[in-house]
Amino acid sequence: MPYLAADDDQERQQHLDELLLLRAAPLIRGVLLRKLGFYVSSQGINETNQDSEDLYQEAMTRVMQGLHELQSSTGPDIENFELYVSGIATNICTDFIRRKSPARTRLKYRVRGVVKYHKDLVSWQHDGDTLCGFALWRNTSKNPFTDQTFQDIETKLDSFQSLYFAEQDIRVAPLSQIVSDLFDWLGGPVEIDLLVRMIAYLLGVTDQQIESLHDPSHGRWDSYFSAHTQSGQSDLEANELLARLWRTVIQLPAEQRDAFAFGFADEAGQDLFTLLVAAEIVNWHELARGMGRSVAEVVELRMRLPMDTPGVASELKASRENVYKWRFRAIRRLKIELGR
Amino acid sequence: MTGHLSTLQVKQLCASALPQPELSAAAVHTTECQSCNQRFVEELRRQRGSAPFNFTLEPEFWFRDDHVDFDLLVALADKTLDQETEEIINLHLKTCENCREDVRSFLAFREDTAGEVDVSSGPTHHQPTADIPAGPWWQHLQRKPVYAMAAIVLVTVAVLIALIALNDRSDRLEASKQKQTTPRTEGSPNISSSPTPDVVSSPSTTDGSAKITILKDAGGEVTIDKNGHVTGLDQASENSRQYVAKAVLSEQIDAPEVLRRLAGDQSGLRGNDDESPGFRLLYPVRSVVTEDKPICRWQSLPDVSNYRVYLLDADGNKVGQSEELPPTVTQWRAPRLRRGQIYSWAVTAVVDGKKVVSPSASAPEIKFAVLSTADFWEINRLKKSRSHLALGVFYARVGLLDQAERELQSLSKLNSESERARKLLESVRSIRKAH
Repeated sequence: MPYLAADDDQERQQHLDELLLLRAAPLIRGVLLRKLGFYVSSQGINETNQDSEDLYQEAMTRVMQGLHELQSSTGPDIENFELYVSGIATNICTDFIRRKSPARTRLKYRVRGVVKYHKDLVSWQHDGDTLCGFALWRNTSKNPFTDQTFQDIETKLDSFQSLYFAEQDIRVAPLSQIVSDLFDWLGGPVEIDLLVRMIAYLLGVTDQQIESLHDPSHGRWDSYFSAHTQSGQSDLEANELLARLWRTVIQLPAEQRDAFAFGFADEAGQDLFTLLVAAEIVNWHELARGMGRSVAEVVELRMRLPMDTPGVASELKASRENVYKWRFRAIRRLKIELGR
Repeated sequence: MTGHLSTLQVKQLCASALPQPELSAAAVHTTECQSCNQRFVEELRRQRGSAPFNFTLEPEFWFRDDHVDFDLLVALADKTLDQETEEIINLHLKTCENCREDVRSFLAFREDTAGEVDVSSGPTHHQPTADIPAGPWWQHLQRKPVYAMAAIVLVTVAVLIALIALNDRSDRLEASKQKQTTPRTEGSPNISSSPTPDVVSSPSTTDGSAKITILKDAGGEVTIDKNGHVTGLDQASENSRQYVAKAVLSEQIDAPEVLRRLAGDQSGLRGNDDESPGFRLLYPVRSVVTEDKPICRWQSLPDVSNYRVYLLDADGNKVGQSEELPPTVTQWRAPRLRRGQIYSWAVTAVVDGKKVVSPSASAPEIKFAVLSTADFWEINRLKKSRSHLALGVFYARVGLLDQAERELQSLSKLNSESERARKLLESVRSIRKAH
């Protein structure tokens, strides 16, 4: 590895940048996409999904730490850099899945449902936080009580339970009752995420540990591809297929074209623009013309491809539902045009 | 860009890892420079490796990552999605088990809580629920002042009619109260437990007194001697130990005074319950409740256009009322009530423009009591002792007969040979029967 053999700091830093940006980053992006369906740009950005940016940065930092430790001879050898990076990214995804337990997510949906549907409860934005409480409290700031550590809050929640649910098993009490009693007890607004955490504590909703690091959806989509794929057996056939796809895509109405092209990823996770340029079906000028944009715009766009639906919606300044529809209609049309 | 791209620049262009202006310039350069374009294309292919070009147009795959979030769950529950969007969501649900379960769980939650979320609630120390603004209905009227004025007039008339009906009823109730021969013991409406019973007990006094009863309990053995000294209930208060001693020695539990006061005032003026038309109040009815914001429930009435609940204190003063509740709602959470007090409540229903009141003017008042704070805390303390005996006796003493029977039944099972345990259970059952 040239990074380890570098003679001076400047050369070492240059090799480190190369390793991170040119080799680690694409691998991490691929793992995030396959394991979690998280899209991040080549710069590690997804403006509509903070989690994906955080996970990308976490993976990059861990890879960098591993390389530093290796260089200072304190860390274990890295036999295969690609496997090493993929392993780190996979573990980060697994930890993320563990934190986002389905039980906790469903509880959050139900709590948000109570706040949304209950006629005396509301939620509102305040200083970047989503607060909730009785309608009378609308647009006020959060209760200072909630600034305590959750450990302190837990202790107080035990008192709440003995005060409000002494005669009733809280686990079978209506959720709306628990929510309104908690508001009553708190006496002021609370962040909705903290409210969910408090209720999860009271109801004993815990995260279920997943059994293995293997992503169950991964194998399923592999077999899906083999059953439903559009593929070229040879490079020539592949290029012909890609060229036909491109010719059809640029015939679509602009919104359908963009909704499809921006979200496109082949089986390897490669975006449409890169595939077209790599196969020399188009050069940058032709690509720009086909997409109704300038070269600078398509080059900038390619950094962020493939995009998830919120990303496409943000780019096209449209609602998510509209992007769904445009993409859906584009797929139907393409299936007909490509004879599938 | 005039010069050729360096190897590093080519790699950076492939990975989109150049600053934005340089990236555009490098891309434009490749379109004009055959040699750089060739290196760029080769590097792209090298980075891609030997992976074959495969893609799918199956919509299930295309929407695999479009998970159903809260806004979509709400739209599905409220049926506000158009057909095409719903079709697309269903495509995702075909392949995403987690989202399927999310949707199933949320729809079930919505169905289960449809009535629950209409139960009024608000902070204890704030105005009554009816005064809480900002409901959608109210906002709607605020935008249409003419309708608002009309609605205010209608609501005012309705409230006046209801109050007149209730006052009329109260007057008649008051008249009947005065006719009653039994003196009213409600000088203070407080229903807290009576003072210390006349049996002496001590958790530590076991100095040679004859042990007349030993009962097995969940927390160990409880012993009561002939002088009323109780051991084995060290976590119970002195009063509770005395209640236990008195009950065990006398082999019976006295009917609590509060239940008599909740029985309702029956007189010739009101006639018979069976004659009252309409619908019944279901809970709380002539009972003690532990919660200080009880949820009042009543039978639904066919063809009703709305309900309204009225809550009165022991002196007949209105302490709360619901807003107009739709026909589908047959429960209402009371505002926080003072513990240790007796309340009565009534529901008016509008059917074909006519008001039906339950209980009817000829029927007894429907009263309930809220457990006093002292008794509430004592129950919490007794729960820690895990004593069926102490809890059973105390529950019965404060009028919580269901709970009392449950505890004494457990005690009786633990002491299947004990006549005293059996008699205590029978005693509570007979109070329930009489009540």
